Amino acid sequence: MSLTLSGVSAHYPGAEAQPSLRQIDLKIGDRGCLAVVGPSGSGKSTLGRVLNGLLRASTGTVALDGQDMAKLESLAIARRRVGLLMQQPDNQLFGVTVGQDIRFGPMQAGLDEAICQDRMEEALRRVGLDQETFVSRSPFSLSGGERRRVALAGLLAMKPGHLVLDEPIAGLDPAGRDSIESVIAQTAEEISVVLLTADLPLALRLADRVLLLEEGRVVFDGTPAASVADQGLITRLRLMVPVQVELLAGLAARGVVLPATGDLRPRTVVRTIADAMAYRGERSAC
Amino acid sequence: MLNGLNLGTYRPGSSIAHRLDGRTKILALLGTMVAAFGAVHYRYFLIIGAALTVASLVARIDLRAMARSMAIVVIGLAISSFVAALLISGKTYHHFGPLAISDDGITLAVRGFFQTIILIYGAQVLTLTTAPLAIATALQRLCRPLKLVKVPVDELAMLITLALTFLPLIREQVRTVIDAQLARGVDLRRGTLETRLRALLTFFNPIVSANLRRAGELATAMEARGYQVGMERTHLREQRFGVADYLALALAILLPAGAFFV
Repeated sequence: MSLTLSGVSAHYPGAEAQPSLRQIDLKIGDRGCLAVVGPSGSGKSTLGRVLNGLLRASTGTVALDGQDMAKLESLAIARRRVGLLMQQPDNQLFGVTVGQDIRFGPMQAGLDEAICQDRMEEALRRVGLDQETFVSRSPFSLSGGERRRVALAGLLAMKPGHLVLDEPIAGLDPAGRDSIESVIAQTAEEISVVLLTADLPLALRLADRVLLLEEGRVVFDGTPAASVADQGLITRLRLMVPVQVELLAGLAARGVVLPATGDLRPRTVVRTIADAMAYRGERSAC
Repeated sequence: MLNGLNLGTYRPGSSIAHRLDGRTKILALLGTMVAAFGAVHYRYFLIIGAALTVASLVARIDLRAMARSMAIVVIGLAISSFVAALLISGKTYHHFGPLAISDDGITLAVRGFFQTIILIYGAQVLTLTTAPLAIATALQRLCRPLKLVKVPVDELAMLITLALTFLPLIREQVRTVIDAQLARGVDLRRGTLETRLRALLTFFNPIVSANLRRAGELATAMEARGYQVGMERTHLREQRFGVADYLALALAILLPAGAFFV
């Protein structure tokens, strides 16, 4: 399954003179995690809406599995194949109970009650919510992290080919962030996940490809390690430099030579530094 | 569709209508209502319509945008007026199968239709040109005599301010919820009527809960910033009547007076 944007520009109604996206070319494969990173107003959420079919491209084409989205019989088909988790999950919850809410998408797709039930149970399992405890509760009685997991389960129950997550961990406590991050990591092994965020450290933890957006334009598209190479660009985009990147730069400035790594996930960096220190310790003991 | 509904939305501007005292505009709206409900002949509705159009032009309101925003109101009112005309008894004018429409039904439906349109349009002009706080202050001052009979005028004014401030937020909330439903594959143009109605009903849960939560947070924030019921309040900008206000008031008195003669 692929999602391809060719020369896509988009604007909101009444803002024709100020397009939120300008000439975006992008190909998203069938699995893995792509992080779209940029400051507020850079066009991340607009990109999410275009990918989900909520907002039509004013120029260019959005193709889902090679088929132009604008020519689909109904945009609802595209929306079921490209799940979108919005910034405010509260707005995405409709059901009186968690169970009803998660079944909402499959039922809209006209699936049998038994299949909807299976999908709901599987989705709850995937987001780590106990069915017995949560299925009959009101989504509005849950904590922020739980509500976000329910919203995510609602999307997973539709079995989308692509999942677009708009600031999925914003405002959550550390435990909530960890649980959502592990769901994203697992999901990215099966389908493609597009992570829209202003949190560069989060992108480095989860993504295998990073796209930097500035005023609706793509200014970088490459590996996570390469995305932080241009410090000037990171500063201009008002993004937070991940602490591990600062640590590596500080060590290099002090003459500490570390093996080159393209993987900037915190655990990998810590392991690299620990190995280097252990090696130096062994050498000095000799 | 929701973009066009301007009711309760304030558009800042520097027109004469914007600069008028809030009390003048409320009294003018009251005058227009009295004129609409007291009009003896249908032709007077045209005169009121002309007066409202002039007021819109003075306020530099985009008439096309207003027409778009009123379209859904006109359609809804036309349908309800037709139903009302069928339900009012009187001398039968025409039969629609088992249903009959009467002369009295037509008269009342047409009058009700125009009166409601005028009321909604006038309220739109008021809210477009007057900030919620100015409306509340004006109401507070106009209703000041009611304090003598222990009516909590200040608190009611605050309630009205908050309600007017919340209207655009609620509209935004409705839009977000609709988008969120569409994002989850809802197709309101397909399926049986029952399926579509069920999908529509699901809007209410998140909208009501979000607004209740917002109201609770607002109440807490107001208390945290020292709001107390029954306290006397001062105003940063005192509203005063000017020449334009007296002229507008004179016209606002002429309009209902004319209704009984034209």
